[in-house]
Amino acid sequence: MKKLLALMLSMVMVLGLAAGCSSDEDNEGNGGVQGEAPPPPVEVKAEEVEEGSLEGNLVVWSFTDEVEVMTVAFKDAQPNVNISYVMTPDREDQFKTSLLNAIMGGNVPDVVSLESAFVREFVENGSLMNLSSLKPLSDAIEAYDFMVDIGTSPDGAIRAYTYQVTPGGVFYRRSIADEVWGDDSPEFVQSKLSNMDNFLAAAQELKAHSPNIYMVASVNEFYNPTYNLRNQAWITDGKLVIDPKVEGLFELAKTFRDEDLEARAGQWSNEWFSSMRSELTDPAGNEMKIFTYFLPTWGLPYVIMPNATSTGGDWGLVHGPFNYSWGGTWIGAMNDATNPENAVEFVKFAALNEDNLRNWATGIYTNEYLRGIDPTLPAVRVSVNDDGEEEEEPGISQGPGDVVNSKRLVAELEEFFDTAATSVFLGGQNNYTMFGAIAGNVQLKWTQASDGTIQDFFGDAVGNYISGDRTREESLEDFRNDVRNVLPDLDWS
Amino acid sequence: MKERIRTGTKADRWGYVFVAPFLIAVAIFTLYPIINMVIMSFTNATNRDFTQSLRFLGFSNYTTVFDNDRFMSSIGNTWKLWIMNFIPQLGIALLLSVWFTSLRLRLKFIGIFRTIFYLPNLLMPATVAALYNMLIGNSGPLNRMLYSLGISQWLVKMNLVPENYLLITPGMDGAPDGIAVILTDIPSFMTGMVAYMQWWLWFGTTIIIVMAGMTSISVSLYESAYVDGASGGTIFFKITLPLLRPVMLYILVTSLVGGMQIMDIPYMFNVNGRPGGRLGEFDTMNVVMVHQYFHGTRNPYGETRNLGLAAAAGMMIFGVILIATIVLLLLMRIGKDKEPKKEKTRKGGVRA
Repeated sequence: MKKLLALMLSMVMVLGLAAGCSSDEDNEGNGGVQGEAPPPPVEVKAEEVEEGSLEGNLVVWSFTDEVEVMTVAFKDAQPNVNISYVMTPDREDQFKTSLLNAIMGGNVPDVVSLESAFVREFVENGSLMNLSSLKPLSDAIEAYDFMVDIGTSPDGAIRAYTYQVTPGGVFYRRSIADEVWGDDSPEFVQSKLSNMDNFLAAAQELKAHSPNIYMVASVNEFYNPTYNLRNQAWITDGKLVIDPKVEGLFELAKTFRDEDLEARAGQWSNEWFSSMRSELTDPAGNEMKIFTYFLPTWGLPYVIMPNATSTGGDWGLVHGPFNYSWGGTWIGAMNDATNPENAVEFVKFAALNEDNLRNWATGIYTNEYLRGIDPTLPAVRVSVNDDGEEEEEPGISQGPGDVVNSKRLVAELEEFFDTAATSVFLGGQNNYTMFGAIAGNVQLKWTQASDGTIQDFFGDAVGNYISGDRTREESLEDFRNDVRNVLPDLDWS
Repeated sequence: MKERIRTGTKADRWGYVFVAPFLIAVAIFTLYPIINMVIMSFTNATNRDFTQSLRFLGFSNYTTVFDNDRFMSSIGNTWKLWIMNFIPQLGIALLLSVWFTSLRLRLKFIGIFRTIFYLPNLLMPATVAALYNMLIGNSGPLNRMLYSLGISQWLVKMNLVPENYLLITPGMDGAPDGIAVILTDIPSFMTGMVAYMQWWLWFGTTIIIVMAGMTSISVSLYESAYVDGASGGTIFFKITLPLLRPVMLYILVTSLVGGMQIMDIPYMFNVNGRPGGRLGEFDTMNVVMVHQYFHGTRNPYGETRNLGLAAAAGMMIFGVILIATIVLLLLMRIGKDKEPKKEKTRKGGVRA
């Protein structure tokens, strides 16, 4: 009897082990030689597909609500496709992890949306379909090269396209500029913020005028822009390299901390959002005023406008001291998609279809419009906010203002935004004109899959230096140890 | 006679059938993953790069983990957190249990107290970490309270908090200054909070176990001690504590095993910053392991083996726990041999 039991157990284990092994082999066969992708399961064609000609299913996974709007709009063009849309926020890497697990388990969606922080990882790991043959479409709408580069894997194949272009600028509060300098025009403010020396001098002037006015909410605002200034990749020749421009962050942040030029309200914190509404107060109830916010294109319609309704019209936008790009959502089709044809068609529609992009940018996709396509969409969504209260939000929609990844459309739509809600919010300023001008100067050449992780650690290191807990050398040593923990195979000698 | 033996064997057979589902489940969901982990710890397994084939690396993953300063310092951090949480946990559980079971005090509503103390244990540790993080934020309730009670002002006046940890806003037009203590930036405070949360979550469970242990000690022992005029302290140290040894050993071992694997709270507590604390002050072994697993991005030059590395780190955590538990059991056994009290118990336990 014991023998039988033992036999049974060992058989189970052997079976289990065998299962483990076979999945490893699958992975091997699946990808082939490193860097070389298998041919896509369908022929990816740039030619237009007739409306309503597609059938079957389409599974879309996304980390952002935006893509749901795209799926509904896609339904208008292809009503016979049955779309199932799954949204997982990427808090604590949730989305990335579930996607990685899905790839390992072999049960992948057809289309995924990928954020700038992790798009490189999937572009490089061979799980996305080669969509290079859609390049003519991308060229036709004159997409910005640096956004296409991010979706291009090391073997030169384009694996993800984006509908946005995300150059960054500096948003500022007009009332503060007026109060301190008596001039709130973007031209004047830009002259005050044109480079980092001027920026610092301006911050000191604000402080001198009133101790309650801070140049920035926190030094974290500089991090993303500064990483964009690198002239080399974080990992060059198998070694971790800290670009001098990035190392400059240590002293820049230290100055802002020591001279009390930052309000120490980190990005995305409750304090940060309430400062946009002029509601940030210290414990005694005094308002802490913050002059500038470093945010890219999407920062206007998604971050500032919804959070600063009470201060609309009091905002301005300038280029600021840096050329930078921040964020963006890429869309790719999975190699192992069950419905590859529909997946490719969706990517074409969402990122490369000029009409769709025009509608996207100009606010055509209102909730009413989308409900006209899919009557089952709710007009009101109930969600639970950070305080645990139920909140009613309007159903999905896409307001005007996002800057689309097409030089042609950006030029064409400039006029439209002269009078749009964004323009009213910015005191008559045209965000499209401004961002269109900035986008020409951005480069993202040095982006690598590991950037997000490394930059998080670097930000921590700067934080520990300016708080005085670590010397600069100790902080850099901590940083190297953190990176070494996750990337042990670099040359650490 | 023969007949009886045969029926006995038949029943045995059914026994195996009855335990089979459990054993099979354990084999598939526990034993197999463990063995798989051991195997993976010797390979370049990864969940990042699907084009990489599995290779045997020998002990390379282990030497990498040993070379990793973050992991080595995390061993000390884990012990520090566990000791900071365990001593008060057992101490307070003992104290409360003595009160609750005391024949002299005869407290009422013990069941209610016990339930209330146990309640935090029903919460998810990750939720608790996020909750406490909100409580101690710059404009969170704790800071507002410190300010309105004048404690922040006093701290500033007495120069007790370094200026780096203070956010002072000069008031305008005669308004008072505002002061917030940036609690999330103070490493020792954050470490203390992690230990405290761990204590807060688990001391209720410990009380229940300790009380169960205490109530199983025969009442007549206490009664005779009272008759002999023993003080509360004597009773505690001469009767309760020695007889509680097996229960305490159980608590010690389970708490140690759990404490060495502590992960959720240290990982989640510093929500807006680096998991494991700004300076890595509560980087526990599991936090470092999870970092290797999740953030070990494939880099463009070297190869990634994040799954293999994390498995090796997991094996080392297992080793630490194994050694600590063996040492603990040996220590307890040595102490036990010195005391000749087994007979006493039996004598005292005889009823009527």
